[in-house]
Amino acid sequence: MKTEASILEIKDLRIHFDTFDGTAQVLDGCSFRLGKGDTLGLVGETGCGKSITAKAILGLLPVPPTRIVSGEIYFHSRDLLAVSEKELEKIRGNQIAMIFQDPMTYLNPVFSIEKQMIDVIRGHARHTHKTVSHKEAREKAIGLLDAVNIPNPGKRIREFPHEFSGGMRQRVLIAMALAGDPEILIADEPTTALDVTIQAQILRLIRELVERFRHSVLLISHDLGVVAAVCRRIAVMYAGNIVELTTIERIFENPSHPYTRGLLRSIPNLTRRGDNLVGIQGSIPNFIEPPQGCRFHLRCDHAMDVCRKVKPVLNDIEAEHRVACFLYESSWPSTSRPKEGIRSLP
Amino acid sequence: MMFLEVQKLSKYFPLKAGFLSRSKGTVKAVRSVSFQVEAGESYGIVGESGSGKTTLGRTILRLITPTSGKIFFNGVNLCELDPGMLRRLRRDMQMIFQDPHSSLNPRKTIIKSVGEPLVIHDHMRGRALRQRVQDLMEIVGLKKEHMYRFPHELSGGQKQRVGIARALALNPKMLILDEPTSALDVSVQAQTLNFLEALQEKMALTYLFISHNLSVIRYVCDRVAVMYLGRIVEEAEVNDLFDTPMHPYTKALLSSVPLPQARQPDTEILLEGDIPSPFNIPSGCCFHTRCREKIGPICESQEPEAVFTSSNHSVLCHLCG
Repeated sequence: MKTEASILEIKDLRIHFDTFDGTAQVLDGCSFRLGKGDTLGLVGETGCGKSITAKAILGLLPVPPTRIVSGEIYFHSRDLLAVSEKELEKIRGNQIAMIFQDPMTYLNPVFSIEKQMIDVIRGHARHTHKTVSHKEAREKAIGLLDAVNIPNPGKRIREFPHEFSGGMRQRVLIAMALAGDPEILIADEPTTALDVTIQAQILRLIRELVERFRHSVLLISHDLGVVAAVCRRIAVMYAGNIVELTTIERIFENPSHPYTRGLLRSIPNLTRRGDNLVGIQGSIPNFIEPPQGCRFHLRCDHAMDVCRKVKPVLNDIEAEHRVACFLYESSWPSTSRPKEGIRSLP
Repeated sequence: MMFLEVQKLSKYFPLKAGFLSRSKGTVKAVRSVSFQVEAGESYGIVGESGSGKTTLGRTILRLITPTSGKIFFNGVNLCELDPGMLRRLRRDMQMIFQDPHSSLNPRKTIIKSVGEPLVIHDHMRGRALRQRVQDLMEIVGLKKEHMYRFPHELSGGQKQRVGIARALALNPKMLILDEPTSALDVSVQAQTLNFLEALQEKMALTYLFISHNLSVIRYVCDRVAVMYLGRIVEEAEVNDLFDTPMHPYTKALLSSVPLPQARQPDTEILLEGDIPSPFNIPSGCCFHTRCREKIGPICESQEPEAVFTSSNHSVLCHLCG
């Protein structure tokens, strides 16, 4: 990995949900770091724990049923899991902001955009013990709407969410996220509810904003294409684990985890008709009784005995390329190899 | 004789609002759409939300009565049939819906859902019904024990297969697939697409495949129509359309898809603004408000006619006229 100082570091995060049927182990030891100005894409299928990870960072998971079993989330040098709710409130929006999937759900339909944005701006100011007048806040709001390319912001700010189209609402939400001048922007499926031509506009906007303001971005998506369009690095998640962590170039040139390869083989090609899709057999495992060892072994073509017993951890297979799979065991440092004793268990 | 022929099909919905439901105008969902599908073909309809593709699919099945136009299915005009005849013809046309969860009754077991068309059309009962449902489950790759489960006990991909089994129950000749894989994850989508392809070969089905996902359309279909605001703006063989798109909208649509590859092409054509409301369709060419290749006032005043740039490639644009 690069030596640049990471501003966000997640270490071995384990999250369980208590349900009537038992305990669902939704996040099973997830670790990654995000550097200054870094753009990391979190990719995976439904239920792999992408959104849970994002919500855990901001302390947005309801407790109970959520139980954070172990792990640390360091923002600069503070553990976000240990700080008080009051401290967390100062961080949310001001230092780490989030953009959600469905913009209509996160805008209040009965207040104008003006009212909602001014509330956000003045709220952030209060947390940093500054006072911002209504007029100043309004000017800032108009400036932000302008920054996200909303035409005629001075007039449109007086409108209500229902008067905006889906793409425009997402722009408003991005403007609100920028209001606190955050260091980290977490975007959870920001374009999933949008049409492709609108998605292209929003992705370009995010790219431009990142270049301009040097935010660190954690982009969550199920679409590898979306992540490739915005991010420099990518983490592929499967059933609560990160199975591969590398750069965008390496993931397409040398996909190494069997799941990543299966995922890439499942995507129909737009530019060329030809190869048959392969897909991945079976479906995601049950989280209440997850498979022993590697959680992917039931669907994996290369499953070995060790995969059924021991859980692989992320290890370097080349520079900036980490994979959690026993296929690459020979290239691991000796300290992280499972002990022979474990392997010979019946 | 064409297997399915749609001629100048239109569907306008009256928009009513306010006191005494006064008419406020019409939403023009499908406007004068014509196309032909050969037996055994996969015909794709692609478009963004609000382009009218779902309304078109439902109108062809006569789930919605068209405002004007003709639909010939094996030479019979579906728009002139009486309800009894229509019901008999519907055996041959079935629909698969987008959301497998909401298209299955949560209080019915799978055998009841899949068997329902058999009970209604063929008055099947008892062992014969069970046997037929079991055969159908086998065709779609589900096990016998799934028959007695409820929808919530199945995964999304399995539920979609149940939807397909139900559609196949009456041995249809044509399936209308409305976004059949958009609720599924890519790995399951790949399984489902491959299965649909094998099924088509095995049962000699004709597909009308409606989707917003361009890569899926390219993978499955033989010919493709691109819809924008209720009109087909371009129609061609699949490779022809994807490799040499002619209409400015098709070009923009294709370049908007983020590709799963490291280097993104820098030829991105970014469309400005949003798709206009079908309640208030722009004059002339309906795409002129967002078009980057507008040639002049003709685009704003005159509606373009379909032009054939080659024998199988038609475009609705003044540029190609």
